[in-house]
Amino acid sequence: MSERIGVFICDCGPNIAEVVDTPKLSEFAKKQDEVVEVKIHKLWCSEGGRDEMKRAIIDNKLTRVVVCACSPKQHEITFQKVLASAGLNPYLMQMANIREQVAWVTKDKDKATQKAISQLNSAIKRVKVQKPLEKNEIECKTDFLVIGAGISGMSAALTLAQKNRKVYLVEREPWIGGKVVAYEDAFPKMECAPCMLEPKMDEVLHNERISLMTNSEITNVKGFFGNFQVQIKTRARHVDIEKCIGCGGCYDVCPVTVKNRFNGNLSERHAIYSAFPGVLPNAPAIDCETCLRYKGEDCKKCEESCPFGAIDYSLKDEYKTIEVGAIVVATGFDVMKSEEVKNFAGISEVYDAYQFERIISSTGPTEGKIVTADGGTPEVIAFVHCAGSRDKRYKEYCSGVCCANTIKLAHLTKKKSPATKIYEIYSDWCLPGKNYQQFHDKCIADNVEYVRNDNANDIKAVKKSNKIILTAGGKNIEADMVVLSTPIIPNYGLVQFNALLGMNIDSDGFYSAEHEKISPANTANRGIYIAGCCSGPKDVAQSVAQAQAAAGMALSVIVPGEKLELEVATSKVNDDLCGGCHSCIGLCPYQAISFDEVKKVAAVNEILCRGCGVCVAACPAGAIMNKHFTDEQIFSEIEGVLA
Amino acid sequence: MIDNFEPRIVGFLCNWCSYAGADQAGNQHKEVPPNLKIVRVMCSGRVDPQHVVKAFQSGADGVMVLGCHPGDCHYKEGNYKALRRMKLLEKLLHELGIEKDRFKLDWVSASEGDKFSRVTIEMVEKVKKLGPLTIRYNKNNEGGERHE
Amino acid sequence: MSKLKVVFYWAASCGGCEVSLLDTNEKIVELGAIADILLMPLAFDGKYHDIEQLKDGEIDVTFFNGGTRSTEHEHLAKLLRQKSKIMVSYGACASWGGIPGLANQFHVEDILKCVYEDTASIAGSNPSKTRPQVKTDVPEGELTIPGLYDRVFPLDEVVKVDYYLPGCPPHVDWVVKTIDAIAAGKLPPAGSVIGSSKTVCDECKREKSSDRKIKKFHRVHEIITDPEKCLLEQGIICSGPATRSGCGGAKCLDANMPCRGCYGPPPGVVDQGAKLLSVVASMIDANEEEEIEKILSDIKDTIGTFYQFTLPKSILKGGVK
Repeated sequence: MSERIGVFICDCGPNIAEVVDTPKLSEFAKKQDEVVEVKIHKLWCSEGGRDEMKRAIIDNKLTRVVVCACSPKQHEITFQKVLASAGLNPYLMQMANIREQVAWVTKDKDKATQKAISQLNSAIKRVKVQKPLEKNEIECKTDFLVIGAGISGMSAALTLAQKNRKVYLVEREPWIGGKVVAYEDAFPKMECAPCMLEPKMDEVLHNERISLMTNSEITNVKGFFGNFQVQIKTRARHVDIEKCIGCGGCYDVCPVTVKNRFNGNLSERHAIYSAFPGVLPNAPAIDCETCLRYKGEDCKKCEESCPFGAIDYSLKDEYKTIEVGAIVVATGFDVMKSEEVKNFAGISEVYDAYQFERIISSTGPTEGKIVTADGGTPEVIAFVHCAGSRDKRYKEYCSGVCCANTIKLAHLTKKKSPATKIYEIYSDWCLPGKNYQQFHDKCIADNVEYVRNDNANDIKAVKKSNKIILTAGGKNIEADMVVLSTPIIPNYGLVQFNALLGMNIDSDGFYSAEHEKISPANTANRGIYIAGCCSGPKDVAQSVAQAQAAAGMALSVIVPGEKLELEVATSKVNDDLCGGCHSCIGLCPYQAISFDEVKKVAAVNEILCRGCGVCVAACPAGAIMNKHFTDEQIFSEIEGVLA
Repeated sequence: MIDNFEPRIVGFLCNWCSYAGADQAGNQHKEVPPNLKIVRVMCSGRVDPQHVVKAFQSGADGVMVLGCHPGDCHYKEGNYKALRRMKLLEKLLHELGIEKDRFKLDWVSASEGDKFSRVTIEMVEKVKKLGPLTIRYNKNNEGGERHE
Repeated sequence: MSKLKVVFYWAASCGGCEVSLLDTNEKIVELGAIADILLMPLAFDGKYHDIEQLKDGEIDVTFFNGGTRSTEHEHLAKLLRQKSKIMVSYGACASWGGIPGLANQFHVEDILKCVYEDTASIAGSNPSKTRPQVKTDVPEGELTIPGLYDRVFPLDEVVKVDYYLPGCPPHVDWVVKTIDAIAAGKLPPAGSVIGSSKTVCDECKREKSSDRKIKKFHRVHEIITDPEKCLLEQGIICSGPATRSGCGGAKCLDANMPCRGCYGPPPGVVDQGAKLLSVVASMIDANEEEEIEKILSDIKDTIGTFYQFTLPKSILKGGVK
């Protein structure tokens, strides 16, 4: 059956008509096979133009439409809607871009017209072999999973915990609060960080729509957008949270001592422990990696010491599989360890900013007292900005938050130890945003001596007796303690963890957003969103904003009672042609292709497919077709532009 | 160079970067040679070597494949697959006698109207120097002359 | 029922296609029972003159193997087409040009110069640069030999072809099936390729992984391969993924050799070489231009590797002028 093609040529006011001879295009179009209607309009995208196009489609019983106008990126959807309103499948339309790619870039009118004719011819040839496509929808699960219960994960979970929704919040540590709970104060307004967190943590613990799973980790992720199956392992805490009142009576009876990572390894803890006073949930956990009982010894000291019978050695690790529609990843960050900064490596009393954060914290190893290794008050502390940052030898980026954080640490030091002389060795200030510059200006009153130096990683540092001598900015500074503002880096476990999710990781090891600027919470993996520092250095406000954005994105697409709308122009395998060579499977950037072991052919999951066509170009059997970019369509276009 | 020779160049442009870059050249009213005829694909990774040889066979004097910059692919890494394929295709075209300058893979982002204009002008200039491409046996009956 | 009249003819080919008939084993006796073979240069001395005397369409089926390179090939192709009800393009050379078709990269003048002047075994021993002449005058009159065309033509570019039976040589099962079908009058739609719709990988027993990567290409003699694993994943270029299956169970792969592509492109593919090239390149385990080029430098003869049997039938047919 022959087609009835309508060609709609747009003058675009003077934009096209001044350069391209549109009546000539019209003459050309009229001579083409199967073209039954050709019209020129001054502006097809206008309301009047769209109405006229719709009438023309209906009156002429058109089966295909070519719009010869602007870029499809401008108005493809506009004209697809016109087709739909006229009862024609929107995918039976092809645009010839004669504005941006012809009229606006060509001076010679004849040449512009000739080129426009080529592009029009190509669109006519292509549209003849286009096929109607239908939108597909699938059922989806409406629960959510949030990985990481720091400020970002908690913020995301609280936003997601809307009516009729359930949120699983999984945290690998036995406590919640992430890094922020370790801070004394938060810049720039110097509010008490744990106090700021408290209401959020409280709500997370008590919100019945949030299922909090601490001491837990993700062990398997299957499925895809709308229908993930996630296996979660909860390590046995061996302490019954219901019975335990968090008195801490069991800690000191424990014969094991190991470094307390939470305190930057500056203090020790026992095998049964809370990382810091005031942990939530308010109960210790037994660390089975170090507990003697789990190394085969018959130690029962903590059980014997507990007056509430809260300790239960028989508890086992539990595995649970949940079904969720979307996942928010908020796995947080670490800071680069001070030992990694070569010019300071091996020198004692050099701390990274996180360690110093713990030193000044009232819940920290010294309960907030700033003391030197020999127990005295430090006479001089030097804060070094940008250590391990902005340098090809380390991390090239600026973390953006360390300047404010260093000012904060200096300010707190002054408050706690007024006699201590403070140096800040910096190369540039990075203090963008509301209140930061004011914060800096206010802290000048702290009498900090600012020393400008080119590159922190070239500072000469030597330990002489109990002083660290720094040569920086033309000065020799004799410090008792040095605090390095090292960069924010991705969580040390991120790479192994990502094996489960298969997400894109950028060159610095952070999760990549689908687009850094315009979709910062989405990732290339549909249905998986990112929040907080796992996607790059951020301050608290930015982390919360991204977390809430991630939650909002998830809520907007996963809606109870509604189906998920899928990409239309996906790829499809022809089972009769597929030889099962497996080549396409690993090429798919979205893990959308799997091997059907029964039929012995590749199968494209249309829920995950985004229609890029990488597999189509690779398929050596010609068995995979991209529904809206078939070889036949592309060949027709090639012949069309060259005819 | 043959006087007045206007080469025909087919450009396969990825939807997200290079096609948008071509539009951007338009928005900025940069010059793009009318010799360039554009075929839009969703990703440079959709460009099948069959499409490139088809373009040469159909009368193109030069072919360009333009995609997102490495690392910027809208589909994560389709442009790397394009790079691998086009590098091998280049070898094949060379063995078939098609000069290197007739085939170009390059990266143009959505904001690089300037670059789009520049690379297309350069392409046309280079192909002009080479003259028309004549496929040895384009039609079924070509090559049928008897060797006496 | 009267006996079928059958012709086997060879053009630009090695003769293996006709020899392959012997692979029919005892079936060949059956063939003798149901068919009279009017012409088969490999087996007996039939005369073109006798064929010319036949009525149009008198031959039931011609199995034509070999590409068309000379005026003689063309003459016989046209003659047999005229005299035959069914014309079968028999084997890779008739169907796609085959290995002799790789000569389409060169002009006939280059080929003659190579063969009669430059080749190592000739160099110096033909100082007068003597070449065969299409016409030679001798005292008895004029002698002629067939002239060469500038390229090898697949049979369907010379005459209309009813069926394609590809392969180098075609697998005997398909030959028997075809003859049985003709005898029974149950023929597939004209233009069909007799073979599977899938690719060689479908029948290949080697294990394929889901993350196929190539870090280095090897030629077959350079490494000892794992007999259980896909050869491509071991860096040996195998045409299997882009080749129609029908050869009878990926036989080359069973013999620890890569598929060379003799069954031609599968139904979804226009240009076998371009498509094979695409999938092989996709598997290269590198993203940097320099590293990719280094890996590719181990592929020495791109045309010969990817178009071993199908250059004349490829989109570009053989290159540029």
